[in-house]
Amino acid sequence: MKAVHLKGVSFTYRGSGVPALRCLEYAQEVGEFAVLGGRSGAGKSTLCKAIMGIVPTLQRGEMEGEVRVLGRKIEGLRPFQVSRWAGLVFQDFEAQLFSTSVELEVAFGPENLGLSRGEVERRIRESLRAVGLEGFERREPWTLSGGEKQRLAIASVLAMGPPVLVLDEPTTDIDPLGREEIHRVVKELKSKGHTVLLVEHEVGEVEDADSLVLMSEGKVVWKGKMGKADSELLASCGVRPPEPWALAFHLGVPPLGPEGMASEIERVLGGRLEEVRRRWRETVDEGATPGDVVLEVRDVEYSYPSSQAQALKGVSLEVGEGEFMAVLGPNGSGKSTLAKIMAGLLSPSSGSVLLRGRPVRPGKVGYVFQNPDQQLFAPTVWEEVAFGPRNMGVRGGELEDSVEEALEAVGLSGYKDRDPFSLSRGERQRLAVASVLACSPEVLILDEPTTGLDYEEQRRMMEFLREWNLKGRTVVLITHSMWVAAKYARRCALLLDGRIVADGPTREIFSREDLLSLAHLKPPFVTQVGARLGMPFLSLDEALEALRN
Amino acid sequence: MFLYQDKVSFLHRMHPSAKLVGLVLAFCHPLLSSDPLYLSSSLGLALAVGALGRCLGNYLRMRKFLIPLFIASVLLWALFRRVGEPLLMLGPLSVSSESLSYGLAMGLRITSLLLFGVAFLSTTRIEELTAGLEAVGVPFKAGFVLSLAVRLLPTFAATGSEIVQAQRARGHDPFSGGPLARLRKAVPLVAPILLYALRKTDQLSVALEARGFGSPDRRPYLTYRFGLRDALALGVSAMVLVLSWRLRP
Amino acid sequence: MKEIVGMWRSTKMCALTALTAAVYAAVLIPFKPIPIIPGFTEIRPASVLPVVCSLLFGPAAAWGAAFGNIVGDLFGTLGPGSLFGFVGNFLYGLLPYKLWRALGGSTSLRSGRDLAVLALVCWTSSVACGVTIGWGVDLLGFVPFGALGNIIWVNNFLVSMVLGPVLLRLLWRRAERWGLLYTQIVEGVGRPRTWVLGLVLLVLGTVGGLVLGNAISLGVYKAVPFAFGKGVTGGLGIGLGLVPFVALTFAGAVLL
Repeated sequence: MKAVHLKGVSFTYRGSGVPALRCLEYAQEVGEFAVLGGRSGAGKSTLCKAIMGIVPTLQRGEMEGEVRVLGRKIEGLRPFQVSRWAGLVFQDFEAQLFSTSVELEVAFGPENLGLSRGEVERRIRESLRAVGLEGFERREPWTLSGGEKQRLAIASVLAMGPPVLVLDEPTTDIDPLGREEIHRVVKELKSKGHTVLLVEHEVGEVEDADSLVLMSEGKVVWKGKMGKADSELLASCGVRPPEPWALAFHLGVPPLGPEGMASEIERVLGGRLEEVRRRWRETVDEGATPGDVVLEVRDVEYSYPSSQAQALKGVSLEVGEGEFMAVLGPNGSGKSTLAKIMAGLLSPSSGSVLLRGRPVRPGKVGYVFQNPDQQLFAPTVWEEVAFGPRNMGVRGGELEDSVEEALEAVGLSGYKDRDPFSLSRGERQRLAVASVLACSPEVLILDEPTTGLDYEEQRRMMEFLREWNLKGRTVVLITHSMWVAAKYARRCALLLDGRIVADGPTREIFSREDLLSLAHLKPPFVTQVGARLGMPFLSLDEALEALRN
Repeated sequence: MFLYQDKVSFLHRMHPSAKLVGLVLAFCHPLLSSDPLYLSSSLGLALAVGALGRCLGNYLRMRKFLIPLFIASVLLWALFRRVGEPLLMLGPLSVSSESLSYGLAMGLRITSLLLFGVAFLSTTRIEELTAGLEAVGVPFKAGFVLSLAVRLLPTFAATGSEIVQAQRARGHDPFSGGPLARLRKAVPLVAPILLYALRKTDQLSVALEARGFGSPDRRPYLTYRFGLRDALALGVSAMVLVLSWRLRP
Repeated sequence: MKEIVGMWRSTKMCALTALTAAVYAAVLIPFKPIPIIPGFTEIRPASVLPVVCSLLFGPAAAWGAAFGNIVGDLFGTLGPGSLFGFVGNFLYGLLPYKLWRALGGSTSLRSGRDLAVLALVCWTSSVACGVTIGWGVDLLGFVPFGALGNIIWVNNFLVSMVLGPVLLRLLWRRAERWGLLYTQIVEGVGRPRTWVLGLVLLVLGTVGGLVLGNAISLGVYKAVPFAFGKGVTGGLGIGLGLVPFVALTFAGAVLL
């Protein structure tokens, strides 16, 4: 008996002409921990929903084929009936928590199963322990961090007792520390005998899974052992090849930790290491020296009106013309607060922010929010982009020009008359950027612009920013995606507990693992390997180039 | 964010349904008479209840809201209620000693009513409120939807302030201009929050279904016992109410 | 009428109710600091929400507006007035879709007729809400009808007329595409046969209530209206005088 078995499943959502699943075949053993990757729109979420019976019962459409969970046919069952065998956790944790205390949140499912109070109590205790939330019983769910909310969502599904757990991108909107905790919880569930199917963009972060599943265009195109998929296959499915795998593959060695990989390279290169290092040093481009100061932050302190604690404790920073800078730091370090102050959206409690020597005002410094859906509202893409410049009094031909130009820059020229809400997440993110660009900002600040995007969309976004920067424009990036910062930013500032603890060229900051670990950050794998060889690489391409022979 | 304070007190330990009934009884007291002296006793009762729920601190925190309310109430009634000999005339407006005393009474009434409410909210968790409502016959789904709205409120409030900032970053200035212009400027703020809610609907209903919302087998996890304390509290409240009714001016 | 109870069987309608309530309460918060009469009313752009949500989500908006108002009261304004706030907001979220359905407005909102229907919808619902709450709080002795009843209906009517058409144009088609209109979720929500009678009663109730309430409150009527009430605002004057009109409004809402 398989834990999950789909035979020839096709599904087309009502009102959509394109099938989401096409004659899909998939089987997973009891106790198996599988990671599922693929680009947005490949059908991953629909597969998860088919396992739960959500399609076609709650979300209607044309369905063919057969779905079985632990040998039982799912057809015709309500998701609630399926929930004793399989539980589903999805990306949006806000929509999965509906109670006013942690304890009640977990109790909700068991209550509906009609269990006795004693049994419900036992399940609350066990589920909260399984996700590391003991002692949180009386807390209100909205006071938890994103990672804690997601773990609570997992606990509340666990409490219904399903042997099979389906997790649809549970870590996408979570910071690195929270992600690690979720992955640890999932691993423990597997070790306790649960069957787990985890949808994850960063497949390299869950190396200890039993198998990797790749989907493309509504089909499972590959299933095998973790680490056995080569970079080309992964890239063809829109998945970022994990750096340890890619490096190992190119060097023809088994995947190893940074230490092991470094000594392996040292062994292979032998006497040539010094020469490789010399040539690498010649090729690295440390970036152009920045121009005049555009944006200047002077001794800024900030406290939120609702809290006693200071979010920023005296921050000074100068951003030069044409810089590409990343602000790094753990959650709660004050990065977003600093960025909003730099954009004039918050006024500092003390200190000042000057744009070319004058106090900054909102609109002059562009600010792109993390979630594009928190600002889009206009009926068409064109109107959406025109909103900003119109607010600033731009009219007529000048308005047309700035809208066209902004759309062109982000690659959305052909979308003028589309409804913003008919675009994909990646396209909406680029639309949000265009709507800010159209205001002709002097500096562009972006808060986590790659969150929630698949690898290809992340790259498209970042390549656009690089191009824009190469034209001499200034970019400030807030991110916790370390490979993004390493590959694209030329300067990094590290914020910790409301203070800047390090500020310098990316390569310098990223070579200091001790410093980054204070902020719960880890440099990318290739940088860790490179640093041990005296060549802190900033991207996989750079590493492969240097080690080519 | 809300008024609830996690403490141990007589009111905290009451059965939520008993507390609800007690609240209704308490609400009746200030409504029995329009005499300022009588209504001062209502205010006294509200203070006593506050002491019983260890929430006088919250009473104090509400003063910024209650004092202007009291003053507004006195003034409005003094102007609108046209009885007795005018003491003061200002064009079409007039104030008499009767209307002034009535205004004072109504100020006292509204203050004591709201303080009873504050005492209830300071000592009752949302889940106790919904459990209490269910126990007095309100359908489970109605109580649940109320608590779900409370749970979603902080999320939407946070989203709302992000939206305001996101639109300001695009040069939108929602807080300038005349009243009508300002009102129109609400569109770029209200539309995204509604769209955000629309986009949550599907996921929320799927999550609810998957966890068995609406199951006929439901057995509530939170249960409360009606105890001596509750009988005592309700008995005393009823007695005070009857006495006040008999003795009211 | 049966959809008001029947909708609770649909999980999606329950979710929409909670979401409407949460948004209504959440949008109230940033504008809390500008009260007209503290604790009773503020300049509230949020007042457009029950109307907009009603046309989209039908009965879920009626319950949502009522619950949203209660949620707002949980911040410290819980009192006997909350009951009237609940009922008044329920009507304010209920009447728009019923009137729109009865008068057959179209979703494009471009024609003059549609806008005229929308104006009637907004006016009647606003007055029904204002009269109910104004009557209730006058009865309790909180605030005179002449002050609060008028503030509520003028605010609601103004806000919903200014913001309503724009927001509806932005939302209607999208909600339809996502399958979130009440007509797509609940079965059997057509116009009842009694709609004409309902409409007449509703108009009588709202217009009558508004005129008489103001007349008593402003002291125009020293005489005893309809043979009961004392003709003085505060207590029984408004309390009893308006009973027939509030009853007419309710009867109209049921039949519509």
